[in-house]
Amino acid sequence: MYLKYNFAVLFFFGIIILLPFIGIFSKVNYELNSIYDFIQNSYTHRLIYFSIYQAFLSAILSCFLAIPFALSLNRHKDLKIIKFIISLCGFCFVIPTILIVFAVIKLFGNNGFYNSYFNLYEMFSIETIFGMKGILIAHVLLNTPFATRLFFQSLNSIPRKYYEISSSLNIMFIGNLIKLELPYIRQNFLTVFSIIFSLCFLSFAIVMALGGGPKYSTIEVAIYQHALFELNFDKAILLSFLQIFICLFFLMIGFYKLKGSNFFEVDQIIFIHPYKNYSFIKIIDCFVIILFSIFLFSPILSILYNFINSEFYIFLIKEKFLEAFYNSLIISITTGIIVSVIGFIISSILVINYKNIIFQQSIFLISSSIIIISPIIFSLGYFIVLGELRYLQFIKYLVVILINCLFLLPFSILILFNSLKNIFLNFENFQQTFRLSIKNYLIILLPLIKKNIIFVFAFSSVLTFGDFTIISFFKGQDFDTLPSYLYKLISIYRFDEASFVAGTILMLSMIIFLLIDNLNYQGRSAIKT
Amino acid sequence: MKSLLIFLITLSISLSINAERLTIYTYDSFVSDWGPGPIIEKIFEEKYKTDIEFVAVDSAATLLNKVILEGNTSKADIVLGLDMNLFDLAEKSDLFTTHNIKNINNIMNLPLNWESNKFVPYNYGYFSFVYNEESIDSPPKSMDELINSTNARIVIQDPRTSTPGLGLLTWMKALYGDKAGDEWKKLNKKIISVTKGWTDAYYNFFIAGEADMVLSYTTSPAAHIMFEERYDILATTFEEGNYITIEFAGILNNSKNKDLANKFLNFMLSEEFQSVIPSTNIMYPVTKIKNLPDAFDKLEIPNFIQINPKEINKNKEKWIDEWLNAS
Repeated sequence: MYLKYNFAVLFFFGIIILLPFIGIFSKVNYELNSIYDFIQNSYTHRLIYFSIYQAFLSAILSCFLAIPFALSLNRHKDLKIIKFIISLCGFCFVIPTILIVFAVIKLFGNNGFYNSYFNLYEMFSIETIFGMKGILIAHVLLNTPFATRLFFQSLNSIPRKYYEISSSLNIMFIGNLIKLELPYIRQNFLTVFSIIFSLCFLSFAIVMALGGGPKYSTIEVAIYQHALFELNFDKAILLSFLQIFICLFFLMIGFYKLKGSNFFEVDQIIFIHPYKNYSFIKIIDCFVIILFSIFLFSPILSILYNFINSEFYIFLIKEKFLEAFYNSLIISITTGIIVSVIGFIISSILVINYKNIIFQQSIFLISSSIIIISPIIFSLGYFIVLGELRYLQFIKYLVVILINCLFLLPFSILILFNSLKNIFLNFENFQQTFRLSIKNYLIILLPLIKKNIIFVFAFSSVLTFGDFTIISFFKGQDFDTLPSYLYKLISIYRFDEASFVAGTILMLSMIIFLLIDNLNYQGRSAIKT
Repeated sequence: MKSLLIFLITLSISLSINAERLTIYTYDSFVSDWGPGPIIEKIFEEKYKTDIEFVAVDSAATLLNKVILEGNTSKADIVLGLDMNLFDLAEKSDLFTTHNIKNINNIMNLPLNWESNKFVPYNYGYFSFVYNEESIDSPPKSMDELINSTNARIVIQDPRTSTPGLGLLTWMKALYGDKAGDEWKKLNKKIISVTKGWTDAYYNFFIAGEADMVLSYTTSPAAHIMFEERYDILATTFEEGNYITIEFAGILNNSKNKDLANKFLNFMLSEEFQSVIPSTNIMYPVTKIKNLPDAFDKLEIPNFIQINPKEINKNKEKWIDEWLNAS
C-alpha cells in the first residue's frame, strides 16, 4: 500500500550515501604498485599504530579515573549538588571539541594557568604540551565526565535491597565495594571503554590542534591532510578504507553489547547510601569530588573566566564574528529541523510498515552503517564529487547541512521509531474503528511524540553547532562557522577574541544541553530504547 | 521559470559589471591588516581607477593547489605569492600566460638571473632559524651545528602547506642529498611542533615562548626592530649559505582582464610597490629602492642555496614521504 513511499525512502538514503562514494571511486588510481607502496610505507604503519595507541591510552585513563569519581558521587547522590555535577558530566557529550583544545592551551600551555602558578614545566621537565601529552589531557578532560556519568548510572541502578542484604550479612565497606559496586561497573566497563576508544580513534580537532605535526597524527587527520594539503586523493581514499575496516573490526568486538543510547536516561533512585556518613569516607569523598570537579570542569571554568575578562562588547559587533555566528545558527537550526522532520517521516513509514521486516532491517542496516563511516570520509567524498561547485556559498551551506543530517538521522530514527512504535500499536484499533486516514492518524499522534521530536531537534542542533570536522572541508575565507572561526583565531594568536568566541559557543551549547537534560529529568525520560 | 530567467539576467549583468575588477589570489598574511595588501590596493586603485579584489587562502603552498583544482573555472586574474619551490609545477600547469615586461633583469636587483617570461618576482629573502638572544647562548653557524649540537626547542612549518616548510625540505635536500632522511630524524628530536602556517609557528609558539627557535626568514628581526625597537630577536646565517626564496606572481590564461593584469605586474616593479614591501612583507625588494628601512642594514646577508625547480617538482612527493617517515 505504501510501497512507493518505501522506495522513496530507500532511494533517498541510497543516493546521499552513494554519491560521495562515486566521487571517491572516480578519483581512485587503480595502480597496484602505488597501493602496495602505500601499505608498505612505514608512515602508514605509524599512523595506524598511533591512532590505536592514543585511543587505547585515552580510553583506559578516562575509564579508570572515572571509577573513583563515580563511586564517590554515588555515595552522596541524595545531595542536590551531585545532581548538578552529573548533569555537567553529561554536557561533555555535546561540548564542541574545539573548546577543549582552547581550554587545554589556556590551562596547560607554557603560558597557561597551571604553569604560571605552579611552574609545572620545570618541575616535571616538560618541554611542551603539544604532542602525546596534549592529546591525552584533552581526551581525558572530554571523556572522563562521560564515563563517570555512565558508571554512575550503573551504580545508581543497584537496588536499595542489595545494600540492606549486604549490611544484614555484615559485609563491610570494602566488601561492599568489591562484591557489589565494582561488579556493577564491570558490567558496563567494556561498553564504555569501546565508546571512548572509538571516539578517540576518530578524534579530529584535538589531534589536529594539539598533536604538533605528523609525528603525532591519526588516520582521521591524515585523511584530511592528504586531501586538502597535497590534493593526493589516492592516499586519502586508501586511508579512508583502512579506517572503515578498523572501525568495523572494533564494532564487532566492542559494540555487540551496546544497548541503545541510555546516556540521557538518568532516573535517579534516591536513597541514603549506608556508608555516606562514615567520617573517614566522607573526608575522602569530599576530597575526591572537589579535586575531580576542579580538574574535569576546569575547561568550562577557564572558558567562562576568559570570556568575562575579554572585552566582549568590542567583538560583538565584528563583522566576521557575526557572519560566523549567523552561519552556525542557520546550519544548526536547519539541520535540527530537517533531522527531526525527516526522522519523523521515516520512522512513521517504518512503523506503518512494521510487518515488512526486510524493509525495516535494510533501513536500520543503512543507518547503522552511516554511523561507522566517519564524517571525514563523507566530507571527502562530497568534496571530490562537488568539484568546483564546492566554492559556491549556497552549495557550502547545503552540503554541510546534508552531511550533518546524514550523521544525525540514524540517531533520530532510533529515538523516534521506538516511541512511535509503542504509541502506534496502542492506538491502532482506534484508527481502524474510526477509519482514519493515515494522514489524520499521524496528526493525532504528533502531540504524543512532540517531546521526543523536540529532543531530537535540540540534540541535532547542538551537535551540529559544535561540528568542526565537516566544516573543515568546506570552510574558506568567506565561510566560517563559530568553531572554525575559533580555530582560525587560535592559530593566529588572537586569544582575546578567541576567548569571546569560545565563551559564546560554550554558553549557547550549554543552554541547549540543559534543555535536553531537563526534558529527561522531568518524569519519564525522552528516550526509551 | 520566470524567476529563474530574472535570476540569470541579473547574474549576467552583475558579472559584466565586475569585468573591470582585478581578482588576485594570494596568501593570508599578504592581505592582513599589517601586510602590504591594503596599501598596495589603495595606490593601484587610485592610479588606474579600478577595483582590486584580494582572495586569500590560508597558506601559500595551498595557493597553487586552489588554482589547479579550480582549473578553467577560476575567477582569479593573478596569482600572487608563489615561490621558487612551486615554480616548475606552476610553469607546467599551463594555467599561466606570458607577461609583457621586457628586459626584466635590467630592472631588477636579484642575487640571481631571472629566467621566466610568465612570472614576475616582487620580493625575496632567505629562510633562516630565528631565535631570542636571551634563550640561545651560542647560535648555530651551520645546519650541522643546528642538528647536532644546538640545544633548542624548534618549531617548523608543514612542507605540504607552507612555503618556509617546503623551503626547509629543499634546503635539507640541497645540503644532505640521499642522507637527508637520517638528518631529518636527528633534527626531529628537537622539533616540538610542525604547524600548518608561518603565523601559527611564529606567534603561537615562538613569540608566546613555547619554542626557542622558529623557521622563518633572515629579515624577520627587522620587523621587531622597526615596530617594537626590540633588538634581541636574531636570525641565523649559516656558513654554507641559507636557502633563498623568491616570491612571484603570474597572470592566469583564462583571465578576462589581461591588460589590467599586465599593468599590475608592471606596477609590482615600480618604486611605489617595492618601497612598501620591506616594512610590510618584511622581505627584500626586487629593485633598488631609495629608502630601504635602516633596520635592514643591521641584517646579515647570507650566501644563497637553491635547487633547480625542475628537480623539486619531480621529487617533491618523494621528499615529503621521506620527511614523513623520519618524523
